[in-house]
Amino acid sequence: MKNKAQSILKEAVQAISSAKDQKSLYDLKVFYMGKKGQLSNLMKELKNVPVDEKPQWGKFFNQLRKDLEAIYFQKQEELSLKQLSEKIEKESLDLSLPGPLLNSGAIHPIHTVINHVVSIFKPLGYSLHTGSFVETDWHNFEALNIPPFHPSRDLQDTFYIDKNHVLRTHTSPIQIRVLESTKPPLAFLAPGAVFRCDSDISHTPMFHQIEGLFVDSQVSLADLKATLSFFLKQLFGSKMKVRFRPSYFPFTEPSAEYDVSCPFCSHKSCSVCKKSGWIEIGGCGLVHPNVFKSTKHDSDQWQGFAFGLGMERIAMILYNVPDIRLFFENDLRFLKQFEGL
Amino acid sequence: MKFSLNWIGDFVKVDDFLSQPESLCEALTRTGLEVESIENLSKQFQNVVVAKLLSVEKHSNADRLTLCKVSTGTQDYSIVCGAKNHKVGDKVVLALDGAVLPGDFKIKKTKVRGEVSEGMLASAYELGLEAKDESAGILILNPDTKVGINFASHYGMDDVIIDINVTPNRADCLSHLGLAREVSCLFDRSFNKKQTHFNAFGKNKTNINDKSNNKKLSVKNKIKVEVLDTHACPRYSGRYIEGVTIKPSPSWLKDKLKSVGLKSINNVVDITNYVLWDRGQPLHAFDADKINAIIIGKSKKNEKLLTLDDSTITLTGKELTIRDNHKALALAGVIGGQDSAISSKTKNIFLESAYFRPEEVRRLSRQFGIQTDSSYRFSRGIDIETVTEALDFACALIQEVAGGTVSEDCYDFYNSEKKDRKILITLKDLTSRLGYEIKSSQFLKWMEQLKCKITKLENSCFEVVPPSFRSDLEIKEDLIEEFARLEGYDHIPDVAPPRAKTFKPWDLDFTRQQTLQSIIRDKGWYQVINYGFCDEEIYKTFLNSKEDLKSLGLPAVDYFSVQNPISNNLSIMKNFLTPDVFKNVHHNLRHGTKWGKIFEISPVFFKEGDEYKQNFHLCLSQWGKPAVIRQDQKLQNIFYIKSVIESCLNRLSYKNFEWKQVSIAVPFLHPKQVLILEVHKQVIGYLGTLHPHFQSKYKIQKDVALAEFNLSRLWATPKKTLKLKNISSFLTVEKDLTFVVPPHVPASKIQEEIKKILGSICERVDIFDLYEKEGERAISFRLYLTPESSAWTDENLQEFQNKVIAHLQNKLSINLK
Repeated sequence: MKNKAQSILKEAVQAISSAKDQKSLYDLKVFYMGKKGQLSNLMKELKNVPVDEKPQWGKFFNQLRKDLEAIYFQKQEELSLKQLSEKIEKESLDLSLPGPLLNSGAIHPIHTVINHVVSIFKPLGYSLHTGSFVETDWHNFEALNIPPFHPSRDLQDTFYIDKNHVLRTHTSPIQIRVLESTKPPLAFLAPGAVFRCDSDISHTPMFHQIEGLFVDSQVSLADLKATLSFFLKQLFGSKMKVRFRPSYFPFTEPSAEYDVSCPFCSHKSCSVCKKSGWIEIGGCGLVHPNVFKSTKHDSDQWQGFAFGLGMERIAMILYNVPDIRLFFENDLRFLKQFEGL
Repeated sequence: MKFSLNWIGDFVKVDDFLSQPESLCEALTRTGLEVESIENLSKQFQNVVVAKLLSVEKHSNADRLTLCKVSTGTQDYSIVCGAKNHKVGDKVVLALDGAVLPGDFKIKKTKVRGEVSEGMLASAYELGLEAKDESAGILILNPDTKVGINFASHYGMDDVIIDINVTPNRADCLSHLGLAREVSCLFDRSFNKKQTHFNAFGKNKTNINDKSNNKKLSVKNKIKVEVLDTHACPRYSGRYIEGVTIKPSPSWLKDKLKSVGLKSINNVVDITNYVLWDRGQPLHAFDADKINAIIIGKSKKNEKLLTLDDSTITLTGKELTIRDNHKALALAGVIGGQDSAISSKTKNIFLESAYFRPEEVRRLSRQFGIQTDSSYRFSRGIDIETVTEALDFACALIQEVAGGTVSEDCYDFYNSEKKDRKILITLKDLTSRLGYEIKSSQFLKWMEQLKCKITKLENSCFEVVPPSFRSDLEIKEDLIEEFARLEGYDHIPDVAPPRAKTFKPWDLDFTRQQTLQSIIRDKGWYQVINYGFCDEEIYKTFLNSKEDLKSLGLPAVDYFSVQNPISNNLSIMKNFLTPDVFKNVHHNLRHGTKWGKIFEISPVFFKEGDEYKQNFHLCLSQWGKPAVIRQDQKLQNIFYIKSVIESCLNRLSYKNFEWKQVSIAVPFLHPKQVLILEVHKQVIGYLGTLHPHFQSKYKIQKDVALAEFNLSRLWATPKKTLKLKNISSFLTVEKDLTFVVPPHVPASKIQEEIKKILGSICERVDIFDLYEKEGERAISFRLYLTPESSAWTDENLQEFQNKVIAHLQNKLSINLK
């Protein structure tokens, strides 16, 4: 019986180790180790064995089965690993194919600039107002020290809605709206669209401005200069130089225009800055006493500074946009380029 | 305004700036007179000099050419010349190697048929002086011309023309005298009103009447002058000039006018223009024989005036005119009439010099759309004190160029409401507004250079009286600016940026828009901006009436127009964003972008009573299909927008929303593919597919979905506040059910009913498959079921499933597939 067992084991080991796949392996398992398999058949002969030898034989067959099973599991593991690696081999993917389409989208460059400017002033404690596009003559002009037939009205070709209403020509009426409703001290930014009857290569009838107003009991040009220098360096980089030039606006006195060193030629000379090394950015000044008077504030008690700048101009400088009309054509080939902002 | 540097030199020494105008211009810009361009005339004639012909010989290889020897006094040159009109001894214009003549004609040293030519003898045409004339030959100069000098200086071209953007407050700088005064102030150079070229008339009245006349001429005896409107015309003066000869102007006068771009007309008119550009005082010369009086008063209603620019204007009775006993002669300060204009036959003149109130002239100029050099200066304000001085100066010049006798007396009406503008200012004012310490000596120096009268009061307070020509200086802030600009804005220090002392809330509209635009952008959309106005004609094709807006879930409001639109297609203020967003879609399709998604957040406008108001709207459009792999190509664009909006509403916590499918007849929308959005039972807007009519009209083959929502109303609806729910500790189980659903039963209704019957155990019902064929459709739903108190068993899952099936069968008569 022992010999028989040994030969079955030998035969089985050989058969298992040469099994080609899981199926034939399983068949071998059934053939040798199944309920009606070789091993079970042999064990049937145990009934002829003397009783006192039975435990010994029992141990022998248990060991035999364990050995056989070990060999079987080892082979099974070996085969499944082989199978997996064959499967993996077949699963090579062309990973150069794209994933599902997810557009990046883009905020309009003008809004991007507005958001950027607003984010620079937010930590300085500035609040924000937007006002409305249709304004009264009073808010757009008169209260800003621009009476009817003032020469400044020529500089701002105005769209009229009716005798007393215009499309705001600048964001400055928001100064009046806020001063009418709020007690100083105050500081705010006012971004938004403005309108002038102008349309050519460098003008569109609608464009965007940001206005800032700061009112307190004592405000000087030095405060204004520092605020704008800080802002412009945040916007254009710390190496940039700022220049203030005297100018004229009816609602500020003294008034100034401010320029930055040309970012295209690093303040040397190029066609963008018309060989001057400077690029004009906007206007500013100390709030004219008449503005306080027209909003019923005591101009001896309150002082302030105001500044404004055009968003299209900033966007054109920052993003090298050659033509202002591109901002309003809304061609996706243009807009898509602003995904990264 | 254009200024000639030579002309400025009549008043103040500036010749040192001729070769280096940049330093002058930099100083002007720095102090508030922004120089926009500098044109150095002499540059265009570099290497072009006056030379003398030493010899003229035949060219050895060409019959038509001559070989010339010319001298510039210091050097001789050989030149080959093709002209015939030159001879030895002539003074000619020599363009040497390196010269660039008008038309970018570069002169180089060359060989012409074997002979060296070191330059070119130029014709008047080649120098850009005259029209082309082949027979004219080269330019032969006056024999007295100095050899060796630059042609530019010979021709009076050694000038620099500076174009300055004069701000409205600096009316005093709208003349050469004014700018010269500014230069004298900036550089502390002496300023001299007497001009070097002419015998200035000055105050010496006997000068006027000298030549050839023994009778004393008086304006009073010649013509009646009367000022009726003394408010609009506070000063009016004039002199009578008898016996002038109208003829072309002398060359000095022509050249002066030419330098600032003015055409010469005749000697008298040229003098009036000259004085305007010289002194800033507009003048008007009337042919005295064509008028019977000078009355300054209001026009008559419906009276006509044929103006100097050949147009006939109709007056309304309100305009300030210069008139005689019968008719209007001129629109005050703006333009003269042809009937009384100076002509070649004019013998006698009435010369006007006046001060018209700026508002009046501005009003007239705008009313008739006429802008003249005269109206420009009057409307900005001229110096009322020097009205007669300019008149007398002009009379002297007219006498010089046109002869005649000037009236001994001068009509001068002056409604002087003179109050000296006394401005009180302290050093503390200066220091506190400029942010740095100012010394009284600095302040006094600049005020004196500005010609202000200054009196020192106690406590470092000053009383300042500005000169009459600076009518813009009225309050102490004006003086602070004057001081700051002259001292230089560079002196103002940067101090740490001040922070706002109070905190005010932000404008909510802006914040909400910022949030919304980021959400939509993050879904892969591109933001557009359109003008606030749009084309009324196109607009009308979108809607039949404002009631259509109502059926779209938008406020039914009327739009209003712009009175003076820039063009007809930008004439109405929008109350609806869709037409322009559609225009953007169309633009992109026409430019080859066959697929895209864009959105706009902008205000729309309407009138409520007398008030103009605005609401913010959100408009979206998606068109075409992207070329991508393995994506559902069948899903219409309308569903993409639907998802984006739902995602936005969720992100913004407007959970209580509902889409209502409606059938409406709005021209631009597919009547069977429209959804109306309701948030908290408030209609907010629409979502739909473009009408096939519109598709064919605009030749669009792509599927276009459009949507517009009233954000102002959305912001006003209540948001759902976050109330955190406990999550179940038991497993959530998915159960899939497929029903046969007839077309008239909306899928969303089934979702709703399932949720209703299952209650809180049903977390969500998703639709994950749709099978449609010949009017039949099967929809697969996935139910997410979470048990309340114990884990699911097969039995109770089955029980709920049966409940759903029975309910749907009962309620909607639909069956499990």
